[in-house]
Amino acid sequence: MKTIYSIFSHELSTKKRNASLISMFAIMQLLLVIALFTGWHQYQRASEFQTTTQQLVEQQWQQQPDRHPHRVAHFGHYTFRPPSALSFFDIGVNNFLGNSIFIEAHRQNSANFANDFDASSLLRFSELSVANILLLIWPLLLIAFAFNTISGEQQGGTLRQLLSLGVSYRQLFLGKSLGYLLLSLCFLAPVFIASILLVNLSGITFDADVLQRLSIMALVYLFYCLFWIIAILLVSSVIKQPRHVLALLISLWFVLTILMPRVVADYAATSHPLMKRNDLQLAVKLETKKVGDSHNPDDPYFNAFKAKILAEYNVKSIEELPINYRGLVMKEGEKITAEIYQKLYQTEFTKLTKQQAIIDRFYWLNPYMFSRDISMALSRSDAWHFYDYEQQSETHRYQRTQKLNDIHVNHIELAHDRAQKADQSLWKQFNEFTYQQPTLAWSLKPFSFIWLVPLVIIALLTWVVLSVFVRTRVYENA
Amino acid sequence: MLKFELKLMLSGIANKLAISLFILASLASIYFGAQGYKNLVVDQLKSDYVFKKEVDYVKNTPPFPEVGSMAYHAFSPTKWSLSPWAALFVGQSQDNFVAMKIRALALQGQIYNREINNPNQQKAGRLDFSFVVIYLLPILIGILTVTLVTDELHENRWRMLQSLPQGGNKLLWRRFALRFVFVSILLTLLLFGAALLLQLPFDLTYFWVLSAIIIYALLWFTLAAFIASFAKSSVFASLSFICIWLITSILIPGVIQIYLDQKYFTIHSVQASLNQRIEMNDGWDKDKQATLDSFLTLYPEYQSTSKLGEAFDWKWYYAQQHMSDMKVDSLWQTHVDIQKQRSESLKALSVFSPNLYFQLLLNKTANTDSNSSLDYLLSVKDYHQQIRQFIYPYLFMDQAFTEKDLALFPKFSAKTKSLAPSFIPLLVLVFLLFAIVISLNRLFNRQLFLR
Repeated sequence: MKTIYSIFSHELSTKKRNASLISMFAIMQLLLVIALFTGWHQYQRASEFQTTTQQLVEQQWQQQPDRHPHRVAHFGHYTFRPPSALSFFDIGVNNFLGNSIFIEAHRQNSANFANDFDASSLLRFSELSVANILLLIWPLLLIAFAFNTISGEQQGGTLRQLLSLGVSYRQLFLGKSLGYLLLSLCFLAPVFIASILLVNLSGITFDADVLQRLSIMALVYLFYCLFWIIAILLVSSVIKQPRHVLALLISLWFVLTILMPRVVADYAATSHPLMKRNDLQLAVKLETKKVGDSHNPDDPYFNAFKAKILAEYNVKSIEELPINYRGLVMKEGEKITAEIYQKLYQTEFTKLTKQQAIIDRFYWLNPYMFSRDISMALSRSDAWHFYDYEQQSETHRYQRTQKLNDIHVNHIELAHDRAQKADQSLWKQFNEFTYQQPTLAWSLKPFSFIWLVPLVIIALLTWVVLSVFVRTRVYENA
Repeated sequence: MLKFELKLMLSGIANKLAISLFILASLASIYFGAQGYKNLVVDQLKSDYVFKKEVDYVKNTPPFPEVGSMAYHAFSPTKWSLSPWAALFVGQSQDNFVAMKIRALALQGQIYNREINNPNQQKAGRLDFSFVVIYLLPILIGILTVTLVTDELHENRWRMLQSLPQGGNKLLWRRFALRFVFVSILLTLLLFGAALLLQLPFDLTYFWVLSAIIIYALLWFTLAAFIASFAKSSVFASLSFICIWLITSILIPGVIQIYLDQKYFTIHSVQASLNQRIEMNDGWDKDKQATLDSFLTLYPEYQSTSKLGEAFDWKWYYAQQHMSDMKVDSLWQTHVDIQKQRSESLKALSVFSPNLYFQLLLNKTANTDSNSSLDYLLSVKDYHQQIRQFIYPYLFMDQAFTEKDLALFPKFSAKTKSLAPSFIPLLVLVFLLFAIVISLNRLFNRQLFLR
């Protein structure tokens, strides 16, 4: 134990003396501070704008004068997606997606106003967010710190001395990895503490949820660092020349963080291509036509519908109905388009799930991709959280529209339908749209089994490092 | 001798691996790019086809509609005129609409619509050919060259090599030149293959792209030579090279993005969209004749149109749609101006990172940069105006709208910008690089003899 501790402290003190490494460490800390504060600023700005605008549109809705309900249905409404509390830490895919949807009758609009105007040139490596710096840049710095830790001792001849003094390779490995783990902790801790403080001071909902998410995140990042530490020590043990160790590790970093994620993403997207919006809209239109055309007097679907309604109220013509038949047709039409849209949305969703399944497979090879995705999920900024917003917005749209159609049915008479207006007091009886942020369990659902991945990878790597093969190699090289 | 040098270059496992990985990545990028581009073209063709079908349907299904109703249903296709280079330099083309459909109703309700895209793919950053050239190529160059001197030093061969008649500085130049020629040939072959596959014309643009890529490679070769001649150890050389790559590829663009986001944060488009909606819907409750009258002050040529009656009139409908657009026109204009300024700023700031600078140049060549996407939106706006002005005479002057008139419905014609890229920045860069290389030669001499 004492040996491990002295190796551990010796490792740290040698690194402390390396001025260029220390200054790189400091520069990266500075960068983290910048990323944290710009992220925070961006989050607050977006959050404030989103909430005030949501209130504004709710007000605009309620202040409508007497109107025909179908006019109100096309006056429409906006749903806004306020950024999640931790998006300042990991902005995820938020910049590539719109954060507000205009909802109206029988049209499913896109989420607009994304922040990706020049993303194709500036965001090729994603934003300089805290998460991105930790995931992308810190491993490279760790490599710079640690690549020569064992191979350097080999070359300098100190390894032989150490071994001859009775220090085992296992102790050496443990001591050194603990040293770099502490170093990583020093790198991670300030930004996590600052995040907790920021959330705490700002008075936004600092609930158990945010704290839980942050702690799991901290664990994930620590695991991620651990992976790199073990990988670096492994390569450093097996390969003799420090410069070859460095070249190999940089290549590994490049493949894992730069090359593989984009090849896999492009491959997944190309194997299950999504529909273009034009195609989706056309498909909704054609499918709707297939079911029935309410404007066509001979349409079988709507004639059957009419017969059913007439039978239900036991009358002979729509004029005799106590309610507005035209409103009922609207309601039925809305039901049809919404169902068709949902069906198409589901097929697209299945494709997305299949794409994700391809990406999932690479979690076993690539801890970067795993940590990136779980971090986005924890900060509620991955694509799935966006789709959840889209779905909540669609549900809200459907309910709002059908409520308007109910007003059409009950408050507007069939004769001179269009000339009538419903009373403005009715508009105040609508529920506001408030986006329900998913729970932690929901966020982590896609990872229900996969959370084992880092454990398995690290266990496997440790096993390899401590295996007879590596040990004999180290002893031989020494 | 050349043969042996070539063998030497290809003997190291790292070099072999890097070269094959680079080639594989290039092929993958060309494949992904071609697939994506094909989808865009299909989308554009399909939109045209669907519109033609719809026109046929209108023609063949009596009763022939009045112009107001026709225009209400006419979602006319537009087209972002991408160059076929968009397959290699994807830019914004995969994420934005390339075939937006537009009708004579208020523009504000239509122009912000977004394509369905896959945010995971965007977040990952895509693997297109420009990525391979701009971000991967420097790494390849680094692996091939940056430790050329120090490796010999570590093996204690350097002094011996210097004493040879063909050795020393000359040998080093030869090795660098060989690698440069090798990389240039590799790039030429890849680009040639891509051009054949994608049927890119072998015109001025092709040669511009080829020379731009080779000059870009030269830039990184120069940098690598600089580091190689100064570095005391391979470790130091590799670390400084990857550091510079990290700074120019990730950190500088990242910081620029943060800066631009702070400076050009705009809520004008959201406001325009919100205000336009209120204006348009309030229009239904306001005095309709007054709305029409204010419209007629903008279009005095229709002053003589008849007064509105009690019944719904398309005249008023299109007039108020346009007036609602006009109400927020200045907001929209501000939004566009801010985006343009952002583009200009980005262009100016891109000199701090050669990666970014060349990325922007290549995207511009393919007409896929953010400016082109903005230009496309503006041309959609122009087309929207054409459609409006096409229907106005029928609406306001009670001209009969017949099948013959339907054939006159304006078609979207993309403004074909002259894409001929300028060789001037490239030439300037070449001169600059040559100046550096010549002064490097002196440094080389001094540095290398010291060892």
